[in-house]
Amino acid sequence: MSDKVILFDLFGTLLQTEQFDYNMVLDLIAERLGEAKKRIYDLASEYRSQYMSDRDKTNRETSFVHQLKFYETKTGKHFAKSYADIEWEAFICCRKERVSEGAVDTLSYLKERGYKMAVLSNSIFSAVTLKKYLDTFYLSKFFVGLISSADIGYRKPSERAFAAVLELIGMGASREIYFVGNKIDKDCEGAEAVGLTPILITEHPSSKAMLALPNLKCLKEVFESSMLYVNAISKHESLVDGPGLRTVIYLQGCKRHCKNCHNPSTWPLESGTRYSVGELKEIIRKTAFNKKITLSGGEPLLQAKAIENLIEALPEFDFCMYTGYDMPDIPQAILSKLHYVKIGAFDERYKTTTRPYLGSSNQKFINLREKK
Amino acid sequence: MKQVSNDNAANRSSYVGYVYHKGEKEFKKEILDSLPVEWSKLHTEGYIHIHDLDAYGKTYNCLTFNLLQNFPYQLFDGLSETGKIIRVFGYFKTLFADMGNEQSGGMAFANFDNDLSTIFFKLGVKHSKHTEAIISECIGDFIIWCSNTHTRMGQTSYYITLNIGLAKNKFARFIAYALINEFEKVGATTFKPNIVFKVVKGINRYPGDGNFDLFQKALLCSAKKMIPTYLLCDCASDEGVAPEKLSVMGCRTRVVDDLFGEKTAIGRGNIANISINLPRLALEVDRDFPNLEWVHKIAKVKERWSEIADMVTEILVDRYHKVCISDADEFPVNRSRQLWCVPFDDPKNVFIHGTLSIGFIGLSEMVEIITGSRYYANDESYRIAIDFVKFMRNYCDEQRNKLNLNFSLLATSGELISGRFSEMDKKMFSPNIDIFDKGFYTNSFHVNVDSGLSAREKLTKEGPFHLYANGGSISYIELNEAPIGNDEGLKELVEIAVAAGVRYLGINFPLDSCNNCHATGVFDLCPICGCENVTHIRRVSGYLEILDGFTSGKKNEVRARTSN
Repeated sequence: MSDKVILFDLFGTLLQTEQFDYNMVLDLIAERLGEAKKRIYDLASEYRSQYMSDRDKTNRETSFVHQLKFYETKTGKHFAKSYADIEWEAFICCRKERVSEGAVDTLSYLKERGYKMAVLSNSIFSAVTLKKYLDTFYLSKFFVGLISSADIGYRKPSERAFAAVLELIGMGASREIYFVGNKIDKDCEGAEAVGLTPILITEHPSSKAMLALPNLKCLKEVFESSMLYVNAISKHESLVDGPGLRTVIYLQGCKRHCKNCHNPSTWPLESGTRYSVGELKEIIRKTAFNKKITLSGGEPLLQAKAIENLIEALPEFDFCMYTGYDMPDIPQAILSKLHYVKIGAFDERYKTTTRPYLGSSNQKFINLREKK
Repeated sequence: MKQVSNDNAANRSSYVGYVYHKGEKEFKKEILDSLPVEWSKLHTEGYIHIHDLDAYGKTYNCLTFNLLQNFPYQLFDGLSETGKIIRVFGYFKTLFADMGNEQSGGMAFANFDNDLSTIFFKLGVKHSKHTEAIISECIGDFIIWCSNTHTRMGQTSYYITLNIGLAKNKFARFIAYALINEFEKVGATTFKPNIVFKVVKGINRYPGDGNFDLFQKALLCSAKKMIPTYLLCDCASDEGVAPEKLSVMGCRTRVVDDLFGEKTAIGRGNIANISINLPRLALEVDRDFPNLEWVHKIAKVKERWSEIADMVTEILVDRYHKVCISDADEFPVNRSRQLWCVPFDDPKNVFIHGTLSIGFIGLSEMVEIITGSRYYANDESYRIAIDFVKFMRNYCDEQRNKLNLNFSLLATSGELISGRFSEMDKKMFSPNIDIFDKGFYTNSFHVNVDSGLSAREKLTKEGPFHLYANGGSISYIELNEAPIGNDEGLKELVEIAVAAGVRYLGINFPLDSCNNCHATGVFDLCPICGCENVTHIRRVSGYLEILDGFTSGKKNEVRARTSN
């Protein structure tokens, strides 16, 4: 049981850098200040050695605006535009990014399932600028907010950086909260140290014991196959959800919205409690004394991959599934392991109280083992 | 189908019923006036309830017919096979109607399937396609007669229980099958007689047992109609008693042990029953000794219970002696049909084989008043509950030994008193006490109907009590809706019940039936034809009844029920 929260690193994780040339920024500053490029380049090295040389040791951040002020002071000249404008101009002239493969798909999926998401980035650029940039990719709608080290003065893996993003989403640290990043030290070890669960996005899995995935596409697959969103688990064994006394798991989410559905609270995809397949397996082992389970809903097949894994993890259990789909739409991998299946959507016009296990007489209840 | 609410849920109104009712009231008053004042006060003040008061000294309560002992085969001489079958069922109807006038309570056949096959065998009725067809029709007709005939006391149907399940041969198996099948076929509003299926390992309990198919058929019928109920002959408390000797009255009364004969239900019955209001005793102790620790409060309750039970014993014995010296001529059918285990000559030689039982109601409320918690909610309260029932049973055993009479402890159904005791106590004590909120007391040792416990938990909690309630007990499972088609699930419940020690099991669910199109389900407005002409069938005591006719206590109980 957990709150559904997932945090992301930005560069290298959600976005892939195709081009980053800081000299272009310095050229822009020289132009905007009306100063020789050489002078700005020299000042830039001076700034770096003075403020940024031990950044990796202290995890302190100096912001781009701070740098701009440094140039103004040193040259005695002033920018005609606001710092924010200069920052935005600088950002877009020096960086060229593309959205990581599978990011939109993954973020859409997580959003649909009700995850609260936020970004924590190590950057000299402010959150305002980074958000503006994400907007150009239509990505910022997925997030409740974005924290940049530029604004808070601390960089990952500093505890304070993680604290800032947790404060933003209004949660305390917990292993139920995932942090997805591409840097093992800054993102993953940092997240782990404050009590979050790290997920490393990398082509080269490290030897460290943490979940490593090649890309965000895989992240979606992992979530789809290992997390189950549950509306409720029956407190009592049921006698009307298939033969025997059955423990019923009402899965969360259904897009069908049948008229006079007996359980509309299962409709929204974004609510429900998240369980890992492993957690749910243990709960079932403990509660279902006679090993008879009915997967109901909601529409269980909206979570087909995880359902498949759950059934596979409990081979000694007798599974029945209530789906609104018809036979051809049920994945063979699931069908082959079920004992019973109820197919067809509820149709109020054919409502029945006398046909075993059915809500309406257009539905069918099939004993799959008898059929074979 | 609105009905007048009556003391007895099954009542109908009629001229004869009106006259009976008036007479009954007068006679009850006369009886109370004739008893020592401290006895009648116990009854009128609601400490106890003398069941079937109008039968005091006049007759016994119930009887499991010893059908084969003196069956009048000669009555059927010269008839055709068809004629014999029709006349046998006609004979049963007359028998029940006649016996219904000679006793105050239920009538049962211990082995309807086997006994009927024996009768047919002796009459020369062969098992054939032809006789099967006639028997099915006759059984169907008999079921409708039991359900729809309200001639008893001019107003009530007969409390008839048919025990089946041990069918020893093909013919008997067919009779059991036909009884269940016909009962399943008639509409939902036909819900009598009570059919009890005896579950026994090696006979019908497991796949491979000869009558397992009948057990399955019974379960499928219960899933639709709440009947049959199940007598679990393999339970711990009936160990060592031959299943064919066991039988139950639909209301739950159990008669087995006999100081003067073999252990059997056949040809025996309960003579009289008096129930004690347990919450009253706890309320008094709580009022009089508010500062006592609850351990001591329980001791006080036991003291008061014993004082009352001593008087109850005197009343039962008085009643027993009075019925023993009653005129044998008042039992003409008993005499001519010889349905008791011994020849019906002198009543005292017969009724000595009967039982006298002390009943109880509201164990749950009693424990709640004393410990502040319901007995199923924690181990300590549960221990107290078990200990108290054990204590009451010990008392009954002591009386049996001392008085040399068959005393037993009955876990009372209390269809009338569940509401009445609660109402009286509410007036007598602070009405703010939680236990009065629901408007009824919990049946016998049952877990509260709104416990929210699962079926398994409920059966596991109630099971151990059955061992002590040797005068009869039942456990119910409450379901939200009919478990249609789920014999597998009901069988699992039966197994859980046997393991827990439950002796007698009933499955309850709300059953509403449209009188227009006969649709069934749970509704006030028929979902098929939209009409309001709907009959609500529920079980609260042991027999199914129509909700509109329920007493207030029973109605309140139905309202409070949550599913297990």
